[in-house]
Amino acid sequence: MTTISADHAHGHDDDGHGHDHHGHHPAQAHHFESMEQQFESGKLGMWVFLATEILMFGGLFCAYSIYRGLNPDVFLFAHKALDTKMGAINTAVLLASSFTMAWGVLAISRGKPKLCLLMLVLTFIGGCGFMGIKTKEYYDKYTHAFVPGKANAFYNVGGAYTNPEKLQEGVGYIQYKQGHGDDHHGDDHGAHGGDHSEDDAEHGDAEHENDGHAAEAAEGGHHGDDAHDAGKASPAGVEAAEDTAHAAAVPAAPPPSVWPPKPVDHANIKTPANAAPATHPNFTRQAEEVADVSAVESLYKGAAKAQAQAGHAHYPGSPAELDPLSGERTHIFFQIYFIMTGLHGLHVLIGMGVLLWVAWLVAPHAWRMFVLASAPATVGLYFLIAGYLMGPVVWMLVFGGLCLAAAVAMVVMGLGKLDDDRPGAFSPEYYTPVEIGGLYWHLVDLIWIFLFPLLYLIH
Amino acid sequence: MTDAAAHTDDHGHDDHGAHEHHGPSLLFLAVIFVVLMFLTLVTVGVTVFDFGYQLNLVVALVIAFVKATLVGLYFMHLRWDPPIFGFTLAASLGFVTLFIVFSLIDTSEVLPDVEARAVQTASEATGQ
Repeated sequence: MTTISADHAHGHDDDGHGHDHHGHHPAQAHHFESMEQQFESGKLGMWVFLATEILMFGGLFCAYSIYRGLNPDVFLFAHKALDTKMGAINTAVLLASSFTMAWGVLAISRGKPKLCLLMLVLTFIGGCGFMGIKTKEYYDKYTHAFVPGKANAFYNVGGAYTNPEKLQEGVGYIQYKQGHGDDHHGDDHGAHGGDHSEDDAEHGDAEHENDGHAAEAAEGGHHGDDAHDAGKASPAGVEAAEDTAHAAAVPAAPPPSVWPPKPVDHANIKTPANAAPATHPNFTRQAEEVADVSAVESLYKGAAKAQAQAGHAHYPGSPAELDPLSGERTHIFFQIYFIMTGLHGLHVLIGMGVLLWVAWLVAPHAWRMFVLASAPATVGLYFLIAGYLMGPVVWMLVFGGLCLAAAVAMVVMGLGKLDDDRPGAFSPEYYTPVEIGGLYWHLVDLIWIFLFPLLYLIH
Repeated sequence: MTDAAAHTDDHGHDDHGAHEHHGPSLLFLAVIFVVLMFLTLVTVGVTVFDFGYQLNLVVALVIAFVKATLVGLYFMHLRWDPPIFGFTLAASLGFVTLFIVFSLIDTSEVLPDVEARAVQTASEATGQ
């Protein structure tokens, strides 16, 4: 590849107009009829590869669809753990980088390699911005116990949440964001962070004494200790149902007092607090679909799921409002989130590598070491900033410092090559790598266009 | 690049004649970019309104498809490329759609049985 490019570059040393039009272009492989055929064959190969990429992501979108179809209430509840603002900013960053990429392709096709190089660098910076914001988001998930595996706040064995403290952390965060993050949802959960701190120990114990509470939960029509669940007792539940009936657009805000949820025993499901709103005549009249939901069935489904199936978005304030089976599946939302955004993030990283490679080819030889130096410089800066924000500071300082030192060394080497007057590898006759590198970058953008509304904007 | 020949024949930098590049102008790309940003704002802003759980999903997906179409047609040049590229893309999307639709059909057929069993268990337990 490089030899071809070098030869090619040699043929175009003055103003970018080849002197060998009537022979073969130096970059033309012998098995191609013309440069045009070669260009389009290369692009076709890229499109076939992009098709396999789409099929690979398609498997994840399929898992997403099945899981969301089964557990709409989980998605309404758990997506609140994601930061819509950051997701939207990242969408804008990726769209902007897609635009600069398209601009870069346009520039090189018109014989402007330096403008193309500038656009590739801007696109690369866009990728850095995306991954930086993604890092912050992942770090937030980590600190609020939304990680995959047993450490997840919603990890659940046989109906029992195994991490009471982490559950507290995760649900507190979600309720905080429901109450303060997006006011347009109309939910006013006063409960967040600090409100729970006093009750922690108490409820942690209560969880383990669930067997003792089971009997009174069955009678009282609600689970949990009375003082905390007062707001969810039957009269309040009926009121909630009436609110729902009158203003379907603004579903009744579940009171914060349902927190914390009690473990559910599947062999012996008691009447949950949400049975009343879901089966109250006012509610069932409002939504026909819910009308055939028998008392037992809505009890099984939970109010949030019944409403979602009736066509109304209802943001569950806590796992206690979820379908009992969904309670066991809440943590899977975060698996899907991490796998989908993680695979996409990996593609962004690979795309940034492709951008660097293409930028190196586009750049005049005198600048190539500077282009190359931007790789360790970016990684070094990333580790320094991440280390400053999240730690561990010492290791991040060491690693980031090493990377920056490598970048400086490359710049010094580059200063010695400033008198190399060979131009970059591409011209309007041949710029296939820019074009297909751009296609890859656009595909990454394309996938995010679907990921963003599906993961962050659930209503 | 169908215009490679055109470029080599007449040497001008700005041959905006009939054989000009099959591709967008910068202004056109910028307009597409602005439209994409606007649609992003719309898809975020539209969550303020409750059209119902399913309809909100449909609205979000329609906007996403419009955005994806704009990126594909203009940023990825499908508008000017041989149809085989777009066909390759459409074929992969078609198979993904088949995959998802048949999986969902299966799930929705089986789901009532699963729920019925759970309801039965629950009703036996509560004595209703």
